[in-house]
Amino acid sequence: MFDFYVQPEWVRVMASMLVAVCTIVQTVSVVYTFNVNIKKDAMQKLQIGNELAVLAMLFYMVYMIAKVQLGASDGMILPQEKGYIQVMILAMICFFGAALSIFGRNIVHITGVLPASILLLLPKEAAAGIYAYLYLAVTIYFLFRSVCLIYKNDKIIKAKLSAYSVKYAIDALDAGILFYDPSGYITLMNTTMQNMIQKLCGKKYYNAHTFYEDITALRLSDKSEKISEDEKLLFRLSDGSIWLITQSELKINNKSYTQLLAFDVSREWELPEKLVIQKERLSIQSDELKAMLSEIREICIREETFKLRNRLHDCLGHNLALMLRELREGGDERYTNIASLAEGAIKELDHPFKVKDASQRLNALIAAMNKIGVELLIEGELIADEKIMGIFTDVIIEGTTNAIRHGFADKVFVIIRETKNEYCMKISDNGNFSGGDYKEGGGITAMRYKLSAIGGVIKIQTTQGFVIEISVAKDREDA
Amino acid sequence: MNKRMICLFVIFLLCVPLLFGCAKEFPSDKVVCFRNYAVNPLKSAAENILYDYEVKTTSYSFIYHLDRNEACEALDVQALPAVKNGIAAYWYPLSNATVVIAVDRDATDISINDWSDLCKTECDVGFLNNRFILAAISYALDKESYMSDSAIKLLAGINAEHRLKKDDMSCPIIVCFDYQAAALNAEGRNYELIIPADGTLSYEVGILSNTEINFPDNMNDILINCGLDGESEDGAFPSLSEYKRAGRVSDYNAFENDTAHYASVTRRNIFNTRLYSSADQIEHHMFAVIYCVIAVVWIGMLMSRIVDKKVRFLMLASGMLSICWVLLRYLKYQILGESALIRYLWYLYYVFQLGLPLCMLLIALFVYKEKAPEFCRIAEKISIGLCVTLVICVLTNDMHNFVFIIDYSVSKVDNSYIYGWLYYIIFADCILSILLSEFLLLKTAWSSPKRRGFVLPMLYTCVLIIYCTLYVLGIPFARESDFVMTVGVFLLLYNETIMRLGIIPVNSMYTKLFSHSTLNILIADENKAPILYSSVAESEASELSSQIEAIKSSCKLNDDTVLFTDIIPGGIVVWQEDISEINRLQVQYKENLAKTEVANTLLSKEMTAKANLASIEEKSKLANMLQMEISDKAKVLSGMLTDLENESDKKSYAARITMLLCYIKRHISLSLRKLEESAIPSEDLVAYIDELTQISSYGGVYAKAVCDLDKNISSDICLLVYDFLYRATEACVKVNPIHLLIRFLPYREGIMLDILSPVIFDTETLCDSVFTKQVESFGGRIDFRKLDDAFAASLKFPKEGELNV
Repeated sequence: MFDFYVQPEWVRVMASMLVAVCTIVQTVSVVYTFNVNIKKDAMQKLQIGNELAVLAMLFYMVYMIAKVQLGASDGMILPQEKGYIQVMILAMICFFGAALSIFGRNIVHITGVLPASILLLLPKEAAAGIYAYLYLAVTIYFLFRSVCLIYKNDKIIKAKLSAYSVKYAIDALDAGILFYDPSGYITLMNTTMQNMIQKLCGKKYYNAHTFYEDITALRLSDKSEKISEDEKLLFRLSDGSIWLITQSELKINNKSYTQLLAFDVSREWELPEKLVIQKERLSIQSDELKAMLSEIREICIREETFKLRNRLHDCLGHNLALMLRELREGGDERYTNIASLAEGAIKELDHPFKVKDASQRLNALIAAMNKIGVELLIEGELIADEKIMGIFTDVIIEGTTNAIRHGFADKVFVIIRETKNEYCMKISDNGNFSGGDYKEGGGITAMRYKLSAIGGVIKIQTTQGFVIEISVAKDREDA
Repeated sequence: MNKRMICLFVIFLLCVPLLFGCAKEFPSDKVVCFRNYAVNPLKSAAENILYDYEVKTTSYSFIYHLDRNEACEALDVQALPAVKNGIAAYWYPLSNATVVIAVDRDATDISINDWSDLCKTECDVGFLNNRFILAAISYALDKESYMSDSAIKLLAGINAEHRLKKDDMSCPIIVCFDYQAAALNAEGRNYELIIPADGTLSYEVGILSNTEINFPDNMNDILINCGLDGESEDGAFPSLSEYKRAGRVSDYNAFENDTAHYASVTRRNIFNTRLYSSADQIEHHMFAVIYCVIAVVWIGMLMSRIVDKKVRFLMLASGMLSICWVLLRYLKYQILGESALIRYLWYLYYVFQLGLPLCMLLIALFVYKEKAPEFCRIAEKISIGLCVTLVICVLTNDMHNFVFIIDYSVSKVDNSYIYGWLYYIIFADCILSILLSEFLLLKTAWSSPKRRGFVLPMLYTCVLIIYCTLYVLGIPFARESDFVMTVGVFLLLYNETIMRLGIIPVNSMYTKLFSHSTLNILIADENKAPILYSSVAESEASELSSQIEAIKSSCKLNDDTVLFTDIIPGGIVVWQEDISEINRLQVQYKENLAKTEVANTLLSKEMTAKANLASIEEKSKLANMLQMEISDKAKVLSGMLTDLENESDKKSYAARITMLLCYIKRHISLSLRKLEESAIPSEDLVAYIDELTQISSYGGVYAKAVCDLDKNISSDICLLVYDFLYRATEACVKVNPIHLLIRFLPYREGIMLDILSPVIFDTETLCDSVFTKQVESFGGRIDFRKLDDAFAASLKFPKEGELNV
């Protein structure tokens, strides 16, 4: 080391800085070597040992240069020490280098032995004049070696399983995972859990007990909610996802830990979501049924009263309209007709709730019309659905009655059509309705009511006579 | 943008020394340097001998001066090994230098014979602080060593009595070289030079040089004149016999080895300073490197522990800053001499001194951001801005001297500055940053279960602040310590503590917790071979690994288990999720749903049954009501139908039949509406009246109906009104042809139906007793009046006519 005293000051400073930096870089290299494998097998232990031996060697080099600097600052030429430490360091480097070369079948590991031997064992006399350069060369060699090792290990860590793999694995989980000790101190929490907690409760937690208490007491963020009915921790978060949180106890080295797992079960919850909607519907239906049950008599009274009123309106109103026509026409024969119409009406009153089928009623209507000289022309097939045809018949009777009574018509045209999607009917007449406003009475209101019950619609056109158009969709709910 | 700003700032830092000049000095080769002792007659002698040389004093070693091609004072123990090892070319011994005890006889008459007598006095002892003096005492007390424990104990004992004065040549007793004491005497002092009875060391003092020096022939005379020949017989020095007690260093290597740690030993064992920090160059180096190694390992551990990326970055920055600060200090203390470079290296300390508290504050602000985002954003900007400004102020101190007021005429900067006003702002900024960060961190993590442990970081902060204050105030305890290392160690401890207390969220025990987890998880390598698995996955590891190939991201293993995979560097992570709970919930839900459906079906059936029953009952009731309402009229109608054939005025009779049927229809309709609604719009009733009058016209009764009402009328009253009108019209048809005026008017608060006829009404027909009672039961009244040319029948309901509008 005496050579350093003859070197300029900057060389000593540079050597000192270089070896310090080299030691730091070698430490980084040790850290990398330590983390390069997920499981520390014999080879990795040898590698760690080798790197620690090199680190020890560098420490010794720091000591050497420190001693030179001490001498330089104090003006003392401190002699080079030769003791057990150098031998031990060199023995370690040789041992680990050789073992790695043999077991790893790679001679590169032993290359550190030569520079270390030169620096530590070379006699003072043999190295006179060149020792400082040797020192610098060895430092640069080890610096280069450390950098290469870091680069190599970094590539391995990025490409192969390493100690960081556990961290990567835990962070890669779609499931949230959190461990805490009995005091509530959070030992480990992955990013998924962190994000889930933020969305669920809207804040960060430093105590897992507080978090667990908050979620069990439902102290959640505004947009989150618990969706399970029992004690299970199933939550809907602010982003709409569904998370199931479970808790379990662990025992590690006689110390107990608690594990919280959070699973995103949105996909699995999809089916129950439909069930929830169905349940809500059933629940509403149940409430309605219960309400209706308590009011069933009232409803029945209203229903039956309304039906009876309509029925009487239909038959009496129809007969009355025909009677009026006959009265207007005058003549004995007509007066006889009036009597028979009145008689028919009285008979209807004897059986107010008896409803004939549509074809019978239509035939009777056509016959009655013919009798008073009104032609009822029905085009198209009757609809097979009795419910619809019954309502269509009611509309035909009401429409015909109105045509005769208000329009003084003697021809009424009915067209019934069935398309792919709907049933349609059009009623027109040759009456004297000249267009414009008309007052909607009980007849048309009743038509609307009856049609609404089967999802039908009624349109009244008054531009070219009085035309009634109705349509009923085939895929209606009550079909 | 931020990266660019950081680059510019770093470039600025690098350029500052260049801008303000720290160029290399070009030394002269005609310089001789002598030790800067308080008394050094060698220097005055040299000035008389070496006329063409510049003679200077120095506190640096001869190696420093030889490197600059300058000659320098040295002792034989330094010079001879240097010449032997080729470090110096020429050694010119000038005089002997024997370590003596000089006693000021003007101040004390105490008797001193040997070194131990120094302990027996109460006088202050001046001690020339160098290894040669200590080596002499050691040699005297323990011939085996040049730095013996007994010598150290002796001086430590004197120091313990606060009598040992370092480099103080004004004390009554001084331990120094003989020629120094002689020089003091030459200046008028009265020192007795005592060569202790137990011995001392004599050295040769001279000039060491790499260039040849030509001394004048009369050099010895000049030296004697300057009082430098210690063994002369002129009385200024002890006698030669006394000098015989002084030994000489025979083994230079032993001397160098024994006295190598002189600085640290004297500091620690004699003067009780630097007990816990580095005390000499070797320790400075080793401690700095050990600190850096620990910091690097700490950073290595940090990277996988801290959860938040930004906190991780700031912690990394904090660790790197502390390493760089130590390295900077490491560099600065190796560069000897005085130059602008050293000053700027010293200024650069403040990059770290200000940067470290800033990092702490930024970490705290980041953690606290959730609670007060706006405050944190503003505080972050202010603190960064302030830090950059103050660093710039420090680096430009040579221009304004606001931070340090430096006396540039004094060679050693360390001793020639005082703090400027801006320094105190810098100090306050550091302290406030630390306090604020501590406050914010504690406030944020107050709910942490390790809250009791918060006392530790608080303690660190308090100690650090007190230490920094003492250091700035120059209190020796703090000032004598290694500021950079102390602050760095505190910082590491502080950061580690706040992480361990959970103030900053960190993860730990990855592998242990992973392998004990109840989550069914395993890590497989590139070949899908399981490498690490949780305790639950252990039994299934090999089975699962065989299925990994087929899995893309997730698949169902069975009804209750879903298998997931994700790629990680160098392998794959596989985990199972137990969805049995979800399945159980689904089943539970479906069961509940089925139960509700059954209940609804039952309800529906019950409702249908009740509805059917109610419907039947209601139909029966309605049928009975209908019969009651129309039976009389139906009989009348049947009779009329029978009589029609025989009637002469068939048209009128047919009209009456039609009117009756119309009446029946409307009567039933109104009766049924009464069940549904309590009131009927007046316009409906008017329509019914119009209908009736239209039919009556065929029977020869021409009625004109006028309505002045627009309100809802009670259903019962409507029925009575309609009945009354029918009765009146029907009665009139029998007397046809006739004209009627029907008025439907408001009456007081009620209504009135007024029928005007040219013929008198048959009151019996219009209002039998039953009808009259019905009218009266609703507060109504029937009036018949004789007008000028007509008769009127009125049905009045003064109050009851308007209901439920």
